[in-house]
Amino acid sequence: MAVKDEKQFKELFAKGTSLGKVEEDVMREAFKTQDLWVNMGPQHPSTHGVLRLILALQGERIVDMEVVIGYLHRGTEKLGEFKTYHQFIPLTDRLDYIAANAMNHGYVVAVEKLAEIEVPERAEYIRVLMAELSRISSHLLWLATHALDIGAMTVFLYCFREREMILDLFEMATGGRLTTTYFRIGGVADDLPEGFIDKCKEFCEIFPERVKDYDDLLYKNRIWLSRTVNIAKISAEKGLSLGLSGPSIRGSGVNWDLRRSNPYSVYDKLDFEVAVFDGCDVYARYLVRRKEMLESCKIVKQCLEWLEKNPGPVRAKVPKVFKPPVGEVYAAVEAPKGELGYYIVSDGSTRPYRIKIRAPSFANLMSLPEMCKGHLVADVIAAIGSIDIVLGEVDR
Amino acid sequence: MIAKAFMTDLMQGLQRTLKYFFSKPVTVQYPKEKLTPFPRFRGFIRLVVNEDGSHKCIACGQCARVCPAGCITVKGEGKGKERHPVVFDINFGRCIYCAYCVEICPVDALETTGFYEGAEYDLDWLDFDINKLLEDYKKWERTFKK
Amino acid sequence: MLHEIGLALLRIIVVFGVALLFVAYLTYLERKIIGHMQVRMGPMRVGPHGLLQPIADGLKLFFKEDIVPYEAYKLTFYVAPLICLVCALVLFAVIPVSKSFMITRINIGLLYVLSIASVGVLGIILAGWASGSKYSLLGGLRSAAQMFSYEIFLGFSLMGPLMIAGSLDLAKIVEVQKVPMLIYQPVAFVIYIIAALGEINRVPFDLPEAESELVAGFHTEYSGMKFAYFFLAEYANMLVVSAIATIVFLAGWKGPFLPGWVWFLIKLFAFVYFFIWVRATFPRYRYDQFMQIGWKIMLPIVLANIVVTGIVMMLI
Repeated sequence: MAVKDEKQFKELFAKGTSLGKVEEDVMREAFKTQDLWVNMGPQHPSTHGVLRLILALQGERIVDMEVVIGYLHRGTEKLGEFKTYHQFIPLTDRLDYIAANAMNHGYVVAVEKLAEIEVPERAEYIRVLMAELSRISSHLLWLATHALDIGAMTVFLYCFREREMILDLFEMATGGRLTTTYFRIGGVADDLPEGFIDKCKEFCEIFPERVKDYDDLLYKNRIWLSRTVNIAKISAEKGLSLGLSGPSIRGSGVNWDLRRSNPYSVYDKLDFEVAVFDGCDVYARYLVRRKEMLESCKIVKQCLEWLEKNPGPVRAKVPKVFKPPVGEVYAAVEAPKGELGYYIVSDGSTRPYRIKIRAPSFANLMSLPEMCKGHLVADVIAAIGSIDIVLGEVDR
Repeated sequence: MIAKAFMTDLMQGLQRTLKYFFSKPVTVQYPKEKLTPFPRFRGFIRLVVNEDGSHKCIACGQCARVCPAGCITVKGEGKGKERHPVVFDINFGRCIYCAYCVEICPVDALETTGFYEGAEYDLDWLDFDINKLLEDYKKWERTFKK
Repeated sequence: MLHEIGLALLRIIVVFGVALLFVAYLTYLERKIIGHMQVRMGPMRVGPHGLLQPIADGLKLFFKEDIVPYEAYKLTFYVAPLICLVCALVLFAVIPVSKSFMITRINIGLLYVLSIASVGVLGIILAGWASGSKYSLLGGLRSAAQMFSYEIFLGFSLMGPLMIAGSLDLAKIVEVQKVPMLIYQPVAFVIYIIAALGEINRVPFDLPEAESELVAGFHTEYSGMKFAYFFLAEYANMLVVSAIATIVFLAGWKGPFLPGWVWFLIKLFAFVYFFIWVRATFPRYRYDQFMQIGWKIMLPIVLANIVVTGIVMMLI
């Protein structure tokens, strides 16, 4: 006996008629559960700014997810068309405001490639020094917030203590703590001030010790492990096809670091290891960043040694009214978040015709739905933390 | 297994936080204590005068041109050595503190200061004109009783 | 007659007054302890070393606008925090602070505590449901599952000590202990502490209000005084749980030299300190992992503990 609709089914059910195969299907239809749609963000404590996620939940399990961006859009790329090449540098600071030096670096490398400017070696070393310091500071902030999202609140303050030391170094050399604006086309703004090298060395001494603090609280902690191991997995192929870069892809076992595979500045003269782990999960990405902090510390030490011995000019002669030749250029650097590329089209005037920024956070963010499907709500937080996004860079 | 049952991994963490419980805090109690910024710190920008009180500034307008935020307005008077600014406005509400103006100034008429407490209810207060730019910013620093 | 009522009232006023003051200053203590563990100072602005901070907080919450969301079920929304707070405070009635100082001595004290504590869960579930917000609902669901299951372990872990003491009367339990129960029942103690962390929603088991996932869980939509009720209830629960641990496992007011109530407070605050210390150190478990720990690890252990205790008691 076939059942046509819900009403009939209920009548039959009340009579106590036994159910066959077809009836079971109808029953399932009648008692279908609905997805719960939850809006996570743009005001949410752990979406790292103004990211908005639309989650479809079955219980607490995620069946679907959509990433909504654009809440921090400031039109940086368009603004670039109305600023001179020099004036655009402070704007790059405000992309990834956590690692402003790295953002500067990408831009000046691109412009110098376009205009074929030879940069003094000392300037290159200072640039690498600053970029690596900001890599450490970026990873520290990442570790702080990531751990805070997962509930370990003390790591946050410990990381900020060390980050404060780096910001002091920035303030000493560049005058700014967050938006440093230190790099110039053809070099850096000014030579390192007196006492900087000693202070920086002191930091390099302290820092590996302090990493032990974070390790004690996280590295082997069973709660941390159970929250991160095998969570938000993404395979190397999938990650590459989604354009994942930086520590996020190195956590999936892909040895791709622009500092090694496409050396710029003086990275080919420096001795460091590229951190690669193949867990593909949140924990692997944690390990990559943790090791990168220590490796960056090594690079900083090497730079300091070189800088101590080799004084010299830090800025090439670049005219005040700077006009690069007609042409276009793409240059990429390894920013703390991944591959940061600037594509600049010049029409020979003082202003760029078009600037396109390949922001690592933007590409990394798009892998989030892939990572999170099938996991629980709590894992979304871990996944967002593990890809380390900065919304300033995502929305530009 | 035994290590797991006795929770050595968790004990390690507890030990670390306990150790810091007995150590000295590293924070600065801001309104009562203040850190002095380093000499290069890019705070509010000041106009510099010569020893005799005349303007160093020659009103060439390079600062206004280089400013990425477009917050500087300069108007000058006179020719040659006589040239001096009549209007010199910096709108610190718009300023992004990049100090490009200081860097580009041919006569070093601008300098950065360590003054940074620019959080104000009154936007007009942040619009500094030529007289205000010559004042000593120290007097605006927030002071709190110990 | 009148004399007795007057005395009882006096006791009630003293205990509740002290309890509420403790609860308020517990927030201060927590902020200070966590602050110092995180190499910072904690509250410093209101009064010397921020000593008046809880009072300032209380005033602020008291004068705050009382917001009721449009989607909320009004009656339940109002009642839920009250249930939480009343249940938490009523528990203090049976806590023996010292040999002669307790509001009332009933011979099923422990049973009373456990049963009232489970009514308190109702407040949280109602709050989650009545807020009309999805985050609150998720928080409410989580806490329903969490607190119901962790009550079982809490009860079971107290079973071993109860068998040895042979009474549900809290004062009797203390009187029976010549040496602290901790020596006889270390396993039950550890399980009790873990279950207690779950029961009072604290890190690493603070899932119902996991602020990084569910904003604030069941009290996302609450503000002002209603929020304060939840807050007070939470800390009052922490005190009660510590007090039970003190009484059952550490021989309550017993101790050399010092008067009984001092010993009681010392032991009580040792537990409170431990709970705060744990909060400063650990990350948070995920909801399903938390349930797994409960049902798959703790339940067998605690049952085995009861069996072993029973066998040993029969043999001796």
